Amino acid sequence: MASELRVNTLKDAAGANSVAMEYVAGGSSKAFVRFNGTGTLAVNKSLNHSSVTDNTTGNYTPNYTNAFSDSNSCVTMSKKNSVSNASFGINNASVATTNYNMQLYENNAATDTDIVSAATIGDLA
Amino acid sequence: MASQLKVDTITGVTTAGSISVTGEGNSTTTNLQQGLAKSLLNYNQTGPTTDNSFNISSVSDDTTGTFTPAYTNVFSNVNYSCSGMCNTTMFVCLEDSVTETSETTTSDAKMLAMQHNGILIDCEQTMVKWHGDLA
Repeated sequence: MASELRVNTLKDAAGANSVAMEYVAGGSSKAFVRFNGTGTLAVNKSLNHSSVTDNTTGNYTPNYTNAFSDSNSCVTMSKKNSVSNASFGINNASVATTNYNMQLYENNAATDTDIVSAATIGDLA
Repeated sequence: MASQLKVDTITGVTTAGSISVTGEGNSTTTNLQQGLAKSLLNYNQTGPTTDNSFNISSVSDDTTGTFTPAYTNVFSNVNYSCSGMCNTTMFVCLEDSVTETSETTTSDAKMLAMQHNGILIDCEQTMVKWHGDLA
């Protein structure tokens, strides 16, 4: 049977390792995604992402299923470097309540990448 | 009324590995297990020292700007999300597909810390977190 538990604090059975529910709810990532941006974009794994839009070369917009309450959420990203020791970068161009934009570069040129990851922490609407 | 729950393990009723937590807006829910970072690392490669970690058994200092964290509890597949940054103006990314023959595995992942000019560098503060399914 489905159940709902309302508590303020969680502790282990010994009474240690206390964590308030505000940290469980606030500290958990509300969304993450890993996708392959080369060729036909494929999402490998995700939480709270409805889709990832392939805008142009190296430019993607992951879209949330459930929106955030404001645009001040924290988004971190990472990508695989596909050219040996080439300069690369990830530009977080915009963060909105329903999506965010990411721009990937290698050798100063926009580049599609086959392993791209991102995670978002913030307040759900 | 304030309440406190003392437990060692929380398990879902309908699905053992799935518990919903109501979001801050009091309307939508988020999945507790999926949203939890399964590993984290704060690594100083100039030492090298691991300043903080969770579910990381060791960090191999491979070469300049290249290191490999190994997980204590492995992931169920390689499709986990890994994101992080370094201090100053550098980035951290997953392994270099040109110099490495193996992709990210369920038990470890090679990391690169690189400057904008493409030169690998030992970073004093590399912060990485992982999300995905544990085995």
